[in-house]
Amino acid sequence: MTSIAVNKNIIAITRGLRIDCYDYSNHKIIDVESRDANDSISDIVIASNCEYLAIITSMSKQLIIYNWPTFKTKRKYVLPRSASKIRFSPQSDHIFVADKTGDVLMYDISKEDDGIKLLGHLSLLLNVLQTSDRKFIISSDRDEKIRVSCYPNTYNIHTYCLGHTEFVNHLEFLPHNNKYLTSTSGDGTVRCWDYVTGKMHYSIDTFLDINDETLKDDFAKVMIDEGIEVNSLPIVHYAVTKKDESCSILAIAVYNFNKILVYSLNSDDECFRHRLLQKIDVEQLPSSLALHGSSLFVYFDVKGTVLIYTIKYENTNISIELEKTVQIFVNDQSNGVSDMENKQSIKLLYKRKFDNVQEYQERKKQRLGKV
Amino acid sequence: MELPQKKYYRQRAHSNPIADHCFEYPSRPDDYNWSTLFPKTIEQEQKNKQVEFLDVGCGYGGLLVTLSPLFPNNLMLGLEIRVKVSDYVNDRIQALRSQHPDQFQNIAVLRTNAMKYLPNFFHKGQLKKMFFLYPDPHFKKAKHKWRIINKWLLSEYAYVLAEEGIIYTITDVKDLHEWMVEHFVEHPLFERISDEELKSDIIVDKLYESTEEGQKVTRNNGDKYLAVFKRIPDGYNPY
Repeated sequence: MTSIAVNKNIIAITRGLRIDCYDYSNHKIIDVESRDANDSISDIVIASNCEYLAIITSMSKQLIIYNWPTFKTKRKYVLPRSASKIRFSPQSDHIFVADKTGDVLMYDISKEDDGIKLLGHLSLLLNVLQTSDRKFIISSDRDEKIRVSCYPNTYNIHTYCLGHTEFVNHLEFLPHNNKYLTSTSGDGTVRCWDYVTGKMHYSIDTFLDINDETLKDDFAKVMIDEGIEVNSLPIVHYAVTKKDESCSILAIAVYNFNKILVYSLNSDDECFRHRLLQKIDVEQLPSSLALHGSSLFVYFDVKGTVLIYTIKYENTNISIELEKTVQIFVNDQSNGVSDMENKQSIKLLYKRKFDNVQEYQERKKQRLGKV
Repeated sequence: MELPQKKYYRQRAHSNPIADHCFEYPSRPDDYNWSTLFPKTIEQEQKNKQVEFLDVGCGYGGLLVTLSPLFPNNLMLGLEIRVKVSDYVNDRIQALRSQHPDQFQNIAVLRTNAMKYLPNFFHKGQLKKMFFLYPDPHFKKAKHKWRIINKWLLSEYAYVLAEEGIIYTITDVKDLHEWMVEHFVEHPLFERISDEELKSDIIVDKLYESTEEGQKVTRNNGDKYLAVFKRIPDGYNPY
């Protein structure tokens, strides 16, 4: 779930059914209509051509495209099923929807039809992305998988990028070299892939920089009460930006860890290396992260604030400083997402363990013992 | 070692393939230790030998046992989602191997969900033959999404199957037969193999009687509908 989208002129933030669009001087509030009292916006995205803003809602399953910067509704679709993620095509003419039953749908935003189904997983989908040459659609799911399908012939699965050991929630191309795909997972790693071959080239284990066994054990205890076995702290939020032709910046928020990890990731040919630039202290798990140019945006919906940090490059030294704090949804009484709700949503991404094999083997042993 | 008695391993025929079950599976095919399934072949003979025949929903393993001596150089794996049934097949193979040393080393069974985890076990284009014999018909319309053949799963089967590879299907349920044929024929990566061409395929005859399901249909004088398909290259050309 993402609740912030940025481009060079504006920050768009969601809470409940409201969008606050801030252009660094004024706030424009958009209210999304819904008959459902418990409805909320579950994802927001800005088209790369800056002409459109799109959102989806959780209960009423609306997909709404707004014109930029007038904020007039361009299209309103009702999705067949609840969605987790929307992304624009590189040309900003189509929108891809990854839904919770495992389908990727595509809507041509110049048309008012019901869209078309491109492909299906047998697992809850968490993300979708199209390559800039439009040749592939990449989709990721709760069953640890990243699938690379040909486009438009999506019936042909080109490859899988396999190696994550928990759900795969974020997909982004490596900003300084979009030949590579990066992904994050509940297993606490960021991985870097050649999506054409499916080969993994690099992996960053965030736990090496968290290094707090108590935090991990506490999370494991909470989850085991729900019948879920976990061995790692999941990555929740992820954002990327390009530094220069050989380096990108990654910002990562890990569940229950009150610091944002900021890394640089370099690549020369096929040789990757990363460096932890900073651990930014935060009061609580942010609701969302975004990177744009050399700015890092950290959104806390409960407090209604967006912290804007600037990444400063001086020779080989990179520093990150808090530039300003923006108050959003001022005078808005609605509440943000609670810790309780955060826990609920992360829980759904794990598979419950129920062992029917052990019990059977016990009984079999007894039977064979009798003979 | 004696052959297992089926009465101890009976289990209802239906299973929900979409629910979370407790399965052990590798995150990638190379992470799986195949020598546990084929100890003699992989440890002693060919280290890099891979499974080439896959019986999806192998039931009590009749097809594997029948094909084992006919294709001694191919590794064959049965997949079965039901705990007791897959354990029966395993006990059966272990007993056969102990009674006939040097035979039945090329067949094994694995309990998994074929609808979810094929890419975890098999590389692209690794398989030469796949079998879907007497699959669960899931009669109710609401359960059609549980059927082992559908438009989207066919893409996954096409991924693990080599070009020119073959998928065999057989069922006693006419409606399911028509459903399977329709989905395969519509999928751009498969084409149906004509009855004429099938005459030279020695496997086809074995599909009718080698499995326990097939024998049951015969006892009840039921019909058997066969359909066989070939994995063809993608004809899509963007230029």
